[in-house]
Amino acid sequence: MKNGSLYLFVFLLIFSCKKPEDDQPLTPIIEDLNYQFKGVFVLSEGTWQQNNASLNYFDFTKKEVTENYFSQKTGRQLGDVGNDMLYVNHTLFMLINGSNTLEKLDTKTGETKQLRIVNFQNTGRQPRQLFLATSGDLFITSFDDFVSIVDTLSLTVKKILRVGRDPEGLVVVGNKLFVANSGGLDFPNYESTVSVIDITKYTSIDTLQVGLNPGSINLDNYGNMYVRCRGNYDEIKPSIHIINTNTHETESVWNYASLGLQVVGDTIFVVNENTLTVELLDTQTRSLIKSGLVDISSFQTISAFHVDPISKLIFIADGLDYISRGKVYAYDYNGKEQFHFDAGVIPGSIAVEYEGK
Amino acid sequence: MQVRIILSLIFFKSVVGFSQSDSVITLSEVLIENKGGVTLPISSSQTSYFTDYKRIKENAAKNVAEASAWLPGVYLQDYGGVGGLKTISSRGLASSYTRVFIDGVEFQNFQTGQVDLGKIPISNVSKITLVNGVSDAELLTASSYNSPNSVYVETDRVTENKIKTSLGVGSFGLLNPALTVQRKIGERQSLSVGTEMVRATGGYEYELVNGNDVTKQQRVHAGITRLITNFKYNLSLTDSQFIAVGGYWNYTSQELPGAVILYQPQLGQNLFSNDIFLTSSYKSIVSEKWRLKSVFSFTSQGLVYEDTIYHNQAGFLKNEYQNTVYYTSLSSHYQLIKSLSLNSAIDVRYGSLGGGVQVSRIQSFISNEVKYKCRSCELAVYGLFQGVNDVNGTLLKMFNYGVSSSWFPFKKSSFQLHGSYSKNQRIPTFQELYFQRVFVNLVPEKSEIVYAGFGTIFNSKKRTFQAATKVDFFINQVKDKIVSLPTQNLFVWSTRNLGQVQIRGVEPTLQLNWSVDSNWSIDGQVSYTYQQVLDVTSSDSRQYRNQIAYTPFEIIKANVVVSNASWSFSWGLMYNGFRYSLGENVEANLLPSWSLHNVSLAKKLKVGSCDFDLQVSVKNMFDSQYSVIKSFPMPGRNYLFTLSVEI
Repeated sequence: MKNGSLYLFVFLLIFSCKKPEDDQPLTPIIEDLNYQFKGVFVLSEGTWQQNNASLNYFDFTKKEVTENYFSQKTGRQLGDVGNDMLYVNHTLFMLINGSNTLEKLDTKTGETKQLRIVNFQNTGRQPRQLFLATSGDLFITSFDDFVSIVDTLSLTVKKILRVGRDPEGLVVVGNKLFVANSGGLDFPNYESTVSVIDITKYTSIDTLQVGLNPGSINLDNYGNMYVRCRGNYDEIKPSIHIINTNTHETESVWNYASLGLQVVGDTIFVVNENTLTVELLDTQTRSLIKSGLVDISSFQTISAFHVDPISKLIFIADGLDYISRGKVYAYDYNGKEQFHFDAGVIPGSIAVEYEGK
Repeated sequence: MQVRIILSLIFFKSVVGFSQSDSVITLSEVLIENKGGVTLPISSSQTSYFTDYKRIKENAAKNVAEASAWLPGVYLQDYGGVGGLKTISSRGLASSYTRVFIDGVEFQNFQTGQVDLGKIPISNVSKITLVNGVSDAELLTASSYNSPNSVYVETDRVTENKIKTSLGVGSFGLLNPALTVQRKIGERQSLSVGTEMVRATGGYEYELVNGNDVTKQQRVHAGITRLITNFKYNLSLTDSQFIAVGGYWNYTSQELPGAVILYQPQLGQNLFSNDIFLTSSYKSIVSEKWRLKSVFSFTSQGLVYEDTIYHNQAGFLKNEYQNTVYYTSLSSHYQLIKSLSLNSAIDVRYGSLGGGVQVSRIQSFISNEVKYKCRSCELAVYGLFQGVNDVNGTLLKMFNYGVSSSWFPFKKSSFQLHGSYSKNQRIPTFQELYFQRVFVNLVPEKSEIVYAGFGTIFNSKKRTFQAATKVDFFINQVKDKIVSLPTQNLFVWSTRNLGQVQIRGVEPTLQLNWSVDSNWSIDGQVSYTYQQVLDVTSSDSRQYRNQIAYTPFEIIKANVVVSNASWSFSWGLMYNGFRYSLGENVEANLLPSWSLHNVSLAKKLKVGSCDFDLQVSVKNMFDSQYSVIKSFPMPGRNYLFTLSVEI
């Protein structure tokens, strides 16, 4: 379960919030001359032990949802607990935590390939998050304290690296891999470090101190990374640590409770947990550009937050009660709702499909 | 004595029972001894079905859960295999609404509120009764009035010197030897001591469906070893004072096969449980009008769960829990006048949990019931005060009540009408309250329960053919329902007061008994349950007016036994209609219906002073592939051979 512990917190919100209205305001999607937007993929986690991780596809032109897209294409199921997903060039990479698999799906041909993320004893590593490096290698954190480097063409493991406890988010910058170590399985004894590893020599370079229970890591265009630390959901509050990936120095620490963060261009899109709105901040001045962009106070559970770097569409998924099928809402850069559609149980990862012209 | 309608059903003890009782009090023990299988429990305003020693044997039931599963309307939640968790629910109410009583004392688990009926030994059980409503039995403990549905497990009473031994051998490496020694000590004492072992490898085959792909797989890491020792001692101090002491010890070591997760075999989880249940009672017939009973019981449930492939710092997970409950009760039955009686009881119980979370609770109950009985009617009204005090400060006080009645409106006719109304509250368990990362301020679940129905008995002129039928309706409402769902760890659940559930249902039952000739008889029973169990929490929800997860709309139970003095053939059918694995009633959550056919053939033989009994059973004869809980497949066709000898 991605951000498993976060969910527990969000539980509090479930009954205090109302669900959004069921209307369908449909203004045209932002036109970008260089790209043709086709649709949105949503990977839903499903319920633990029910093997109901699912992939939905929302077609922009038809305004239609295809449920169980993966099963339709492949004739088999995804498995148990879909944790993370990436889309690049008609290829989807999906990380299935309970099933301990990496699924690769060619969305054009329907061709599929599976890599089992297991150790030499055939025990599942519990994969958590994906990062696609510019080298074309896929980096995968897993809860057995390792990062697997996977060749995306052959879908084979090239190297396995030991990192800290229960790693979650990760980024690769140049020759350096940064991994957030959460320590989540040792609750309440969380970890608060980021491992830095040289991926040419496969050696550890540094260990950076961040806030308690770090989760996702995001990069900006200036070599800084934003580490979202979730605290212990009690007296230790969440924070965002901004670290220079060249010097490894902490540039700033924000006492900011967020439910999701993404950097697109020079803008940080972040879901403020206290105001329950989407806010925009500037990566250079680090000041607020706009607050209250999208009001999410009517959501029951924020299960996914994604900003598409090209269309600038802001996607926010409502996991509802974690038992029912969730909903995905898309907003434009001005915070106006564009469309919404149904996902599976606990929609957790979102990716936009488009074709370059 | 007034008219008592007695239905003579040789095989079918899980009987649609009703009769008119008079003011003469019959000790419940007297009825239980009537193993000829004739007497129905004095049953009026509630519905009770029971299965007894003989029937349990015919069903080849290996534990209380399997035996209870054949009772009408019962829905057995089963994780599969000998060691899989087994709880039962009835009439659309969750399993926590079916309380389990062993010899009249509630078997309680303050941690989960769930009782695994698979762990309660059966070799010394004489009778299992499911009561919908408050039992009609005399001298109930006060907590019995807080139980919308109850399973009463009654253990054997020694009537003669006997040695019973049996050996069961079955599929999936099942080995089940048992020995019971029963002794009468003088006129006034008796002792029964029994021991039993269950061993199985549990590695059954199942069908794994993955999209278009169907493969045969085998359950692995499913072995179990269980050792059970039980005893019962009875002493009649005088003709009006009785002491009974009994209990059991169950030690189980088992491998947990876990959920079937696609692409990933899961190994490495083990469970060790150590249960001790001791109970003693003292009963006194003070005068012709007044009876008293006091009970003391002790329950200890130790549980160790380990996961040897857990990716934390230690590299494994070990959870230990120790549940202890002390229980004491005093109940009185006083006959005010011939038609009016007063039943009062007071219970105090103390429960504590040691392990990861340390909590304890004192719970007290005070009940008062007034019962009026006339020639053709009965009316009972009760009130129950309940107080709960947890060591961490949770303090609850509540009052609930109920009323029940029955009526034979026509003279010389067995046609009977009955109904009951009760208000109940279920206290949140320790797990629901204290096992959450975020403290949840739960309130008790409140329920209103209405049962109503009618029934009649038909006898052929020569009494060779008898039929009994009963139709029950139930309308229940649950408010502030606490819902638990498993998280990463099956032993850690997330909970909340989900809201409201609305239950409507009907349950017709028909029973037949035909004495073909002086030798052969045919018995049969069929019951059908239709239940609509809807989530009516919020009209905004996707689950609004959807059937609650894991609740079939339809349940059918059918049995036929053809027997004579030495041969017995039985066939049983269990059907559970489709259900949903989650609260949203969409195809993705659909679990298909399933049906199960069991057959069993038994031969009795007397050699000298020994009674031999050989039984061959085929369970799930048509190899149906099904699961009760999603991702926990149940065994296909399997066999069981049992040889029993009584000396």
